[in-house]
Amino acid sequence: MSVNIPSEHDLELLSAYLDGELNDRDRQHVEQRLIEEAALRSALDDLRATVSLLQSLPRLKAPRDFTLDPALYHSPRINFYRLMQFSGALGTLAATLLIAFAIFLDWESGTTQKQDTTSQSSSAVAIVPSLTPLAQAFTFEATLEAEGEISAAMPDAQGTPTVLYMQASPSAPATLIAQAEEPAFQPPAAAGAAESSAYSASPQPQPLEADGAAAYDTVAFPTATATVTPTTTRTSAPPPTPTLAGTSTAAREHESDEQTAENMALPTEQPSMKATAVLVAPTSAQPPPVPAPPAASSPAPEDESGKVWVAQLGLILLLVSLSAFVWGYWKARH
Amino acid sequence: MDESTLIQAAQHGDIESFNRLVLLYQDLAFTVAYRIMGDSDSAADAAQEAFISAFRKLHQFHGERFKSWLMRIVTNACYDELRRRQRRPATSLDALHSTTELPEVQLVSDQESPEQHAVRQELSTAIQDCLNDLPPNQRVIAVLSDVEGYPYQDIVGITGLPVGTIKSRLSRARTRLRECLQGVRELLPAEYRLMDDRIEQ
Repeated sequence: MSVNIPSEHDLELLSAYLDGELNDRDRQHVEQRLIEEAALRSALDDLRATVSLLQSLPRLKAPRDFTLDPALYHSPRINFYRLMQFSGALGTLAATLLIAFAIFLDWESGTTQKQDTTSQSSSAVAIVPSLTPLAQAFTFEATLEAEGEISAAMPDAQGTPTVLYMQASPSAPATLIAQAEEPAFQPPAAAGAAESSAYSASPQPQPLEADGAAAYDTVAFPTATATVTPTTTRTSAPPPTPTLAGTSTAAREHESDEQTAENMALPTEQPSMKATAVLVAPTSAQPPPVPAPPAASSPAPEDESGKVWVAQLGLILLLVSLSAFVWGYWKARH
Repeated sequence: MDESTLIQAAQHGDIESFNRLVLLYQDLAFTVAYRIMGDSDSAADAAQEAFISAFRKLHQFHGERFKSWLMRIVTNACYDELRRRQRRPATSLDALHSTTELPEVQLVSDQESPEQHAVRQELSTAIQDCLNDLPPNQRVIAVLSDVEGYPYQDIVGITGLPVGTIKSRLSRARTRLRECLQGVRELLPAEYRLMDDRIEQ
């Protein structure tokens, strides 16, 4: 009589059947085969005996205690990950504050700059009371574009062009002054073109004001400088920067008059000066152009670098802190 | 103090509570490690490492059975030690082919005579030798299922293996163990010799 040797699949079924891990269908199938196949029954008995032998293995006693030394394991490692989470959160907060501080510095410097611009142009407030820094810069550039023609329009080089450039840009580089010191003399016929050019270059023509403002506006116009004395021209000029004063020969010539010119820009405080300026106004037959306001005073380079440094430090701290927080959180969870 | 209270205290860093858990489970951990590793020193090292790891990972324990959770850590510690052996084949071969020596303090039961104790120890050594001949992946399943009596679902939780893999490995392990035990049938108790008689027929 031949005995069918159970296959590996049959042994696996028998093993699971022995452990009660077969579903009903497979269990009924195996039980049916066990009835019919003696070899399968013998294999099942062998499996059962083997498992019984393994189950007879005794429980061993540990050769020593595996307790942990409280001195070495007093605080669980979990505290380390929690510490990382806490440090990360704290660093994120600090980084946020740093970035906010940098933004505040930038905002405050912008506000101060705006206030400075307002105070600087207080002498010219009657001229351009509401120019934004961007508009000021644009006006400044527009004036720069027209400066050559303005210079050419000057009938003489008696310091007038220089004063004009000072008015346009208190912080103008020395190149401006150099151009002013070498005016290209052209026939007076070109003056009209220069005037119109300078006038059209102004982006925000200001309405003619009732009192001295119109006079100050016209004073800044090249035509006024051509017909009025240089003192009149300096009426709307803001105080020149030391660089300008040092590089401009024309500015040095009229250095003593600059304070007077500045004071004259405050019509409410210096009514007599205003009257002088008003007297100048009728000499200009041209519409009142808008002189370029003083350029916005740029923040000091060290302030800019400081703000950038604070912002960069904040960003780096933010990245590191977030990484530490995420890592600590992940390790604590897993 | 019950087990859950000890676990909660240990999770808050109470090392004394954790050590009480260690005392509760260290025999089980050592036994499983010994059945898998095959020698007392490696088993003690694996068990110690498992308890250290358990203390460090205790915050990850969330309400499942602590015994199964601990067995998973013990099994992983044994796997780590077996992998270290594979990286040191000379040491590994020496350890695998040496005659199994049971731990000095080994049997929990104290109701048997010295002769019975000797026979039982010899049989245990023979079975352990057969276990040591199994591939590690089959050995772990055989120890968890047949020595420790874990159901399949618990073995899934401990090893992370699918049920089908566990069934297959366990069947092959049992087949190989049966063949191995045929060679030591003179050591087997009478009830198990019937198996040998059937095999011979």
